[in-house]
Amino acid sequence: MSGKRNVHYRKIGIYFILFFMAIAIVFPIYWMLLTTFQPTSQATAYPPSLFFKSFSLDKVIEVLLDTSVIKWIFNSFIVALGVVVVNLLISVPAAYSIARYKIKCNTILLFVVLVTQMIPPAIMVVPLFEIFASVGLNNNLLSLILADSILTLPIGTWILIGFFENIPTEIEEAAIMDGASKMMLFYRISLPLTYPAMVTVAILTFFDAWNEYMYAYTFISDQSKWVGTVGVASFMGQFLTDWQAVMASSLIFSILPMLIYIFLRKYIVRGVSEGFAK
Amino acid sequence: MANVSLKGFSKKFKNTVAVDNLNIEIEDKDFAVLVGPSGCGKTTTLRAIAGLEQASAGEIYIGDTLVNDVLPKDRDIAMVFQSYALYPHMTVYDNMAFGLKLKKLPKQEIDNRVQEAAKILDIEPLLQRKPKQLSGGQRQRVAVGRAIVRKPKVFLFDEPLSNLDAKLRVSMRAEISKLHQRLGATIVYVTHDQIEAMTMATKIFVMNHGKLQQSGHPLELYRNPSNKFVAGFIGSPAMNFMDGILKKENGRILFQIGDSKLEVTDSFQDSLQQYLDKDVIFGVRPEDFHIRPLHDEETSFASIKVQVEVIEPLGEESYVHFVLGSEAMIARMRSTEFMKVGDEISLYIDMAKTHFFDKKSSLTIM
Ligand SMILES: Nc1ncnc2c1ncn2[C@@H]1O[C@H](COP(=O)(O)OP(=O)(O)O)[C@@H](O)[C@H]1O
Ligand SMILES: [Mg+2]
Repeated sequence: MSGKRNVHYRKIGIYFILFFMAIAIVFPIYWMLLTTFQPTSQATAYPPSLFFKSFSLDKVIEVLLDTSVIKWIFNSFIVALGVVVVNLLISVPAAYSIARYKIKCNTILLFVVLVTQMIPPAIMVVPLFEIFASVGLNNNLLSLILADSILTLPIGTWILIGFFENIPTEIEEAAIMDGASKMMLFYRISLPLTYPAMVTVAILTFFDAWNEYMYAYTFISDQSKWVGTVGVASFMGQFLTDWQAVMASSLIFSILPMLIYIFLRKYIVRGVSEGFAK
Repeated sequence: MANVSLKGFSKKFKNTVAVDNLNIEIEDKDFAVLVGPSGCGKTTTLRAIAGLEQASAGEIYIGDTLVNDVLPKDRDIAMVFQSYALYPHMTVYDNMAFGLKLKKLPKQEIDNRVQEAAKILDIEPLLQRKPKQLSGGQRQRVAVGRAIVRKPKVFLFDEPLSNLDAKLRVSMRAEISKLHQRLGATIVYVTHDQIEAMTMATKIFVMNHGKLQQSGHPLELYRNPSNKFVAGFIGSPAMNFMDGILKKENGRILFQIGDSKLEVTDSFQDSLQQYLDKDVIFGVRPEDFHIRPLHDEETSFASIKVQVEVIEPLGEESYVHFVLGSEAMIARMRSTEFMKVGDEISLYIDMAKTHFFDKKSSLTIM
């Protein structure tokens, strides 16, 4: 009897915690919607109201038309896509060879990869800036693509190693018996079996690049080349912050990630559970 | 000609010797079965024949060609893996066609071969499915099909039935035997199951601890095992073993176990002379215990008195468990209606069919 009751209490406890976590996560989004879609007078009124009193699209339209937010988001998209491409081009072959060819320096290699993850990205801002400046890449989106790739490569490689190791070697051996060359084992057997994992890595790196702020703020000065994060933050001035513009541009900036989350959720969950829980 | 022979084949992994100086001769069109307990080196041997494993020492011949340095794809062999190792992202059709496409055979030829194999294996309706939409038995057929379409000289099977349920295993045994006759190819088949070996093989190779124990026709191994391991491994229920001493009384050699004295049959008397007063192991197969002595002048019967501990009825026959000396024994009996658990009964051992093993070397004396 008491056992059953304990389980009951535990369940209530868990739902309680989940409820508050949900509130904590959902409330800022709600606040973003609330601020964006009210007339400016109401949105900036003090004390603020927790509920919609009237609805207005004015600020959204203003932000869309009078600022370069669309351009910034497009830049974000270019950078994130570039990072995904660079990342996959490097991490897939790297992970495959680490998983398949067990050579002695693998452990050292993996350790080094892990160590790079422990270096705070901020430390690399100045060196990277100097490097990009010396090759004429400052104020160029390509510098962001390269810098963000450095940040995301270890994670991508790490996840993919797990996936490649999960492919039974016997499948490749069967292909060897069928006459496949080493290259074919990679292209015709292992690579197609890893497509789902590659989607996962693509999504995760896309988000990383999409959300990156520090490098974007430092390396790009030309306003037309800003990415979304920098653009949104630009509404927060030193003396004056247009909170409603911050919220409206944030909302526009969040649409794409939300769509990705909604439609590709299963890949994200799988990547996190299979790639890390090894 | 596709005979397969291994000459002094050994394989070491770091510090384990997986296979030790193996000599095997498999004739063309043989159904050769490598059998032995788990870890005895069967898979390693098969993989070496396939070319997936380099020999540490020794030579491997397929036909008359030394293949130690020949690539797997050029050995004209096909392998069915224990896990089947189907390509998960390809349809059944493509699984079978993959190797043929790599060989750049004409499309029509590929299609003919795949359809023919599908027909033989009864998997025609499954050709467009992916492996994960198949049952274990169906996957197994596809794996066999992938081997058949290549029309190899030698087929290698690694425990292909071990993942199937008991009933399917029995029917697949017969099917693979039929396939062997139909294809007329040499088959090297690995299993830990001696029943599979006995029922399918034209020649059995018994292995243990990486060494070949004995090879020969199934019944030859059954009747004349060359050592205690083979005697105990081949046959089910296994041969009963008892430790004891050979004594001489009134000029006749007797095997003494506990209080019982069993007179050794005439034809054994001479050979056992040199083992007098020495420890030997006596072996009796379960079917060589009888309720009454058979009327046959050639054979002699020794009687023992035992207490029935368990009776396992199987229908046609029953297994009777009892203890002799300190060893648990099993007898296979036709009729057990007259006995019940706890009864004291007399059993007659057909001494002409018994075996004696040297206790030190485990080798067969008689
Ligand atoms: N790749 C390997 N690395 C190290 N040891 C191995 C390897 N493959 C097999 N072995 C060892 O070799 C022995 C024989 O293995 P195997 O041929 O797979 O046995 P079987 O197929 O008869 O069960 C075992 O002791 C096994 O642990
Ligand atoms: Mg094995």
